[in-house]
Amino acid sequence: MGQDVEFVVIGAVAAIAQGYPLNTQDLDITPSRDPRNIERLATALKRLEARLRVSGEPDGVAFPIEAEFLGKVDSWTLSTPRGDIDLLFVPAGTTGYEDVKRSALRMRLWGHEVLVAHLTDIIRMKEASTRPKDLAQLPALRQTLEIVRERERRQS
Amino acid sequence: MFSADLIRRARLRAGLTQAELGLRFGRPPSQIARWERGEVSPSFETVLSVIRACGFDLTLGLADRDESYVPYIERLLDLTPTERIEDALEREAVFGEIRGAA
Repeated sequence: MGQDVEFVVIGAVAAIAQGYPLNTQDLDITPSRDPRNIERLATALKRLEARLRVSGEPDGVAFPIEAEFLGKVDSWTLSTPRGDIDLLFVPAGTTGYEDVKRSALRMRLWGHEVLVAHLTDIIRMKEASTRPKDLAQLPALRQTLEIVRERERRQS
Repeated sequence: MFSADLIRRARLRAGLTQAELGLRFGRPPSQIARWERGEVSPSFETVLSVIRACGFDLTLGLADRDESYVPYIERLLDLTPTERIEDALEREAVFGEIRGAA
């Protein structure tokens, strides 16, 4: 995202980066709620030309990307010319950025160091979710974790 | 590691520290830490009791074993994280074309 925004990649993209075999259409992140970070996030979202993602509005809806406004809401579903992005300050089953960051993996994605939520935490979020779509992802997520653990055992 | 991951997920989802869970469950925090690191595997009954001490229940049932994802996961784990995401994006683009043609 540039701007040195502190965030952890969560959701399907984080799981895919660790071997999860299914697809996704958007990027979910949990940003830090530190006021200075929210300022940096607002700047980054303006540069990305983020708009609210609304069904029936293919181009999204413009909204005031102000730090004060951004930090007060727990989740945002946004679209940008580079793809959809969801901001989840407090993913289900967690207490937010510091909680998810604790076990996050530092990965290199397209040359950038990024924090990626650990599979166990992604499973924790999905288990706490009430959406059928999230619950349906659990068997493949658990199987991915099982195989990752097995490989870790073999390598240690 | 199944019980280790399960205990850790339940504790964190309940918002408890290892010390707080230890206090609730009547075990020292070091015991909780050993379980979570997978150094010691507690019995199934103990895992169930720990999960209940976190305010959750474990629902279990028998299902047919489905290993259809295993070859895909094994293949993806041989790639770098960036390659795994690129692979998913390519698959999503193909599915998008199929959806568009349908």
